[in-house]
Amino acid sequence: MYNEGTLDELARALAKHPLHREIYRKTLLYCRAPRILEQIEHEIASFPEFKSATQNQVHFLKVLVELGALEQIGLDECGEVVPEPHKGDSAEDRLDELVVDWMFMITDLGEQYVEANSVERRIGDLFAEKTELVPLYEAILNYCDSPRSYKEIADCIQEQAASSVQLADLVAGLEPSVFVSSLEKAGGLVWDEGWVVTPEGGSSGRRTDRFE
Amino acid sequence: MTRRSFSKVATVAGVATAMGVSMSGSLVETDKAYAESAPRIKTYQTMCHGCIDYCAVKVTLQDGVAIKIVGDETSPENRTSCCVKCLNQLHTAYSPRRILHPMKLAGERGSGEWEIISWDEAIELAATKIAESIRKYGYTSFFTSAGGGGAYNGAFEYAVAEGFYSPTCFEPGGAQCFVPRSSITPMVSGCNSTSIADSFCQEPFKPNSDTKMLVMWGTQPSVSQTAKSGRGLAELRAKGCKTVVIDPNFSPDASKATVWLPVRPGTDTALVLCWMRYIVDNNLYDEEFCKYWTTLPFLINPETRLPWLAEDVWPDYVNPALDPHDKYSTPAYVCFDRRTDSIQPFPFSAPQDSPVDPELFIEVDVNGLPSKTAYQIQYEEAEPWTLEATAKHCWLEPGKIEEAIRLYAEAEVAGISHGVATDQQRNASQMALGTNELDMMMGYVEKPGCTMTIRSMRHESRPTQAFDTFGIGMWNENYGYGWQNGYTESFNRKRYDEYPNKETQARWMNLLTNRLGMDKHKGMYWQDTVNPQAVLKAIRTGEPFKPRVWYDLSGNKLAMLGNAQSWYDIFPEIDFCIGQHPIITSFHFEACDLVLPVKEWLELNMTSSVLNRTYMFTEVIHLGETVDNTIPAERIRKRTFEILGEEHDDAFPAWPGNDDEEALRAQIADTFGAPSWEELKENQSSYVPLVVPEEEYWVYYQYLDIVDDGLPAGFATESRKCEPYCASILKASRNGFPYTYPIEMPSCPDYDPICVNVDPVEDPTTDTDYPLVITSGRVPYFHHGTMRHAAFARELYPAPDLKINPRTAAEYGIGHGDWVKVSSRRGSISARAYLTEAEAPGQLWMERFWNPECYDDSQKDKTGGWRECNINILTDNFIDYEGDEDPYNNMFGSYTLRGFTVKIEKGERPANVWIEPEEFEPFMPTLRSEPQTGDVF
Repeated sequence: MYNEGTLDELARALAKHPLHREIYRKTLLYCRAPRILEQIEHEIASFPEFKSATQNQVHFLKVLVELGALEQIGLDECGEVVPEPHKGDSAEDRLDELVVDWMFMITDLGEQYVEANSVERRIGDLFAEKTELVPLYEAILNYCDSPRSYKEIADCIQEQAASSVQLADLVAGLEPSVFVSSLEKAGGLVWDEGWVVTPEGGSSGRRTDRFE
Repeated sequence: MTRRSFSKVATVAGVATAMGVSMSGSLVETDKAYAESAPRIKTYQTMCHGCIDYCAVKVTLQDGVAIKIVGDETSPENRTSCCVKCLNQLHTAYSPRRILHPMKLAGERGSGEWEIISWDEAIELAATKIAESIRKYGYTSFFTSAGGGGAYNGAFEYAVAEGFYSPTCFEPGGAQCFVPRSSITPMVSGCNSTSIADSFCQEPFKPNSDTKMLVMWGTQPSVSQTAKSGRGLAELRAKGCKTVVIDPNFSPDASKATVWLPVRPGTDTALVLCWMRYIVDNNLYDEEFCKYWTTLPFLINPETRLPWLAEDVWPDYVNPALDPHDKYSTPAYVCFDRRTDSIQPFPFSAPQDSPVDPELFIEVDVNGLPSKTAYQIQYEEAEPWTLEATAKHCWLEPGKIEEAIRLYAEAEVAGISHGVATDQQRNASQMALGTNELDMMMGYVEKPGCTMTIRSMRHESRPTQAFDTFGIGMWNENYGYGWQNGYTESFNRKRYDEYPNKETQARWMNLLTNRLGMDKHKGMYWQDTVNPQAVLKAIRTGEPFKPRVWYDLSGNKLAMLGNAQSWYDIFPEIDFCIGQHPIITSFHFEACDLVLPVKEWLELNMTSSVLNRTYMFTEVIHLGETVDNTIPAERIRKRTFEILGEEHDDAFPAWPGNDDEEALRAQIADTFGAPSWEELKENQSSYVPLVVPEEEYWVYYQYLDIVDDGLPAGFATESRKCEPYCASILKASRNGFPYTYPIEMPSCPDYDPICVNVDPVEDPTTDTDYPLVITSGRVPYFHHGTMRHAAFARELYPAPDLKINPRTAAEYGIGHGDWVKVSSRRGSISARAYLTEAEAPGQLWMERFWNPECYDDSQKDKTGGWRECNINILTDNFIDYEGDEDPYNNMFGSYTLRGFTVKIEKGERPANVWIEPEEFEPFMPTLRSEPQTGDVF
């Protein structure tokens, strides 16, 4: 049930479907404390990203367990941990019968993944890579303090570009989705009936009030 | 209970399953009495679409099961013939690999775990994901693709993208196959493409053809369209037609050629220029035709590179061909007149009425600038390519080159036909232009027996031409865009200005200006598609927008796209991927979230033509819930716009979609003048084929007809003449003319208006690490990426042969039948050595291949089947995410799929690949007992 994998392999596997990346990361974060299946199902269902997901909660947990990012622990009817049988052990079936619920906990590998893919880190990387666009990114993050349509963000970008020749040059020929996508991929924006800043994105956006 | 509601009940449980599930027996009740009755035999006329072409065939059914296919004797091209690809349908239509129901991915991409869902669920899922993406990122986030085999509705994929206001549609072909060869000929001559790999070049296959000499340049019709043009060529040769085949591969057509020139892959432009030089040096060209029916005598402004217009030199000049109604355009140019020994206006006229005798080769001063004739410019470009220099460069014998040229140039009439090969090289546009130029120099135009013909109803006015793939559906001209040759500036502008719906027109402009890659390769405007590498780059970098919801309408992209690994690498950037195809291919296995089952050709209702006869596709079987190719897209589009609501308008008015099988059948019945589909199907011989009388179909010398302005009709080009020096090509690079008119696109480096030499990107003569050159082509058993799941065909050709010269093989210790590891700078694959003297030393040849057996349920460790034997692991799309590398064909962006460098060593059989006949048993057709079903929609 626990396959030790490398961080690179895990990152590659969890990146396989863009609609699911944040769900995996947030599920791991949630499982920093031991959680039972029902709790996790409810938690995942509350993620805005889950509305776009093409798989269910059990699938996500299965993948995280198979990749060694989560530990899956059987619980008996008293809520006690059922020891994991050795493969081929004659007691395997008997022990399986005792399991009435499952508990999940993040593993060291999962922790490493969460740390390496924190929103703060990703936004920092984005800002470091495109320093000239930081004011625009921050303006978008600040603007999305309530859900915004794509057109509203496009108008916001156009407004920013109108106020700065340098910015106008930088965004010329690029669709607004370029900036939305970058901030979404970094975890700063999420779609929830409109683009809205994430808590971590909000911290980054508040660094400057330049365009407020 | 209707067919659809039954299937909804049947799939409510949403059973997770492996692919290939047929739900046999669960769809309709079996009538025992019927089963026990004597076999009922019935034969229908239909059409094969096993390749890009169509052959009329007859299919015999026994108790509703297709058991026999033969050629239709009334079909003028294939006659009673059909080929292996056609017969493969008896396996592929009933293959256990077919998907008969919509399938939603149940596991991770690449897991091979699918869940059957209903069509309603599938349409809803697809529409929801597309709508979601449009809301989040705008229309440009959606994109489509098709091609690589199995597309039954050519060109529909462009309209699908445009129907969602997306500018992004691509094909593995396009710039690498079809667009260069198909678009250049109309542009330079107004004639049909001379490509023999499609249905464009028809003259050699006319009953009692006049073709006495044919050059096949980079094409092998006996393999590509075996029953049609392959059979036709056999007949032609038997009647004494001489052929020259220029192909590194010793194809069946090469083996029967009068002269075979095994040109070094990728060096074809040098050979074309050699032919030009030899023809000029030996005065073999048609002087009269060159002087009066081509742009070759025009003097060229060295500063603009455009032909001088008479008005440039004599501002008060009055062009006698001027249309007083300002509708048709017939410019007057400038030439050096031999009669007066001076530069003179050169108005358009019949040769006998011309005021000048134009010099073809000269340099003179025009307006103070030393100006050469177009022919002089072309000759100077060809001058380095002597027989000897060319032979050395192209790995040929000078004498053989000369023999081939003489055969061609000394024939009463001849023609050059090309195919896919030259489109798959960096010299794609130059080759299309160069081969056309040769035919023009020789005057092999519009004559019985040549390959460059117009073949249309005779003109009453000056011929005109729009620059679209087929001029139907969602095209420029529907929205007032695009310059049409033959009309004046003011008339063209009027079409744009007077287009009634400016909002729609602006939206179309948005599609034109947003199309990826058009900053450099504007020739792709002809087809409404973009280069694959431009799409790949946008997905990877996210700029200038990120295509992220993908609707692929056919084929195996991982088998057909250059540098397949670079595509696999961007799958994690795709939010949702919809594929529609009759089977799960490597692409669906690795990338798709939803797969929609579409019909095989035995299930289709369509029409198509064989020469002057129109036949019908007849739905003679129907399994599961498969649908016509156009229907899912239209259903999804409608539902997407419903979800998006009022703020998103529905599609363009010219949208060609259809969402109803019954409506399709009614259209076909109407085409054939039948009162109903049922009547048409039951009494086909009364209605099919529709025949255009031969005298109306095979029309020659149209350019000589005197039309309503009292002048010869000429050609549908800017100059009204054939344009071996083609100003339109030059203008395309400068502002997108004629495609985007009146929008002026940013300029890029000039595309040459004549044929110039373009060397291959990788050169085995200088590459010490990868010292061999490899090229590829088709084999008779499969078309593009199709049919690798046809059991008998795979028995015949289980793995790709790597053709290799015995001396080269010996150098590497490789014997006949050995597995070989072939490596390029992109990766390594496996193939089996086929030793043959027909392959030049240092040169290799293999077919594109992929292996659907790799993810068969019997495999212990499934793979996607696209890495093992796929030459596209070796090819390069030259994708350069950071820099500005551009080793593509300048006009079209074609990259090199043939003629790149590799190294070889002895290898091993890949783990999951099947070779032995008995191994293919899981591919044997198992769906023959599947119940016949009715329409889904």
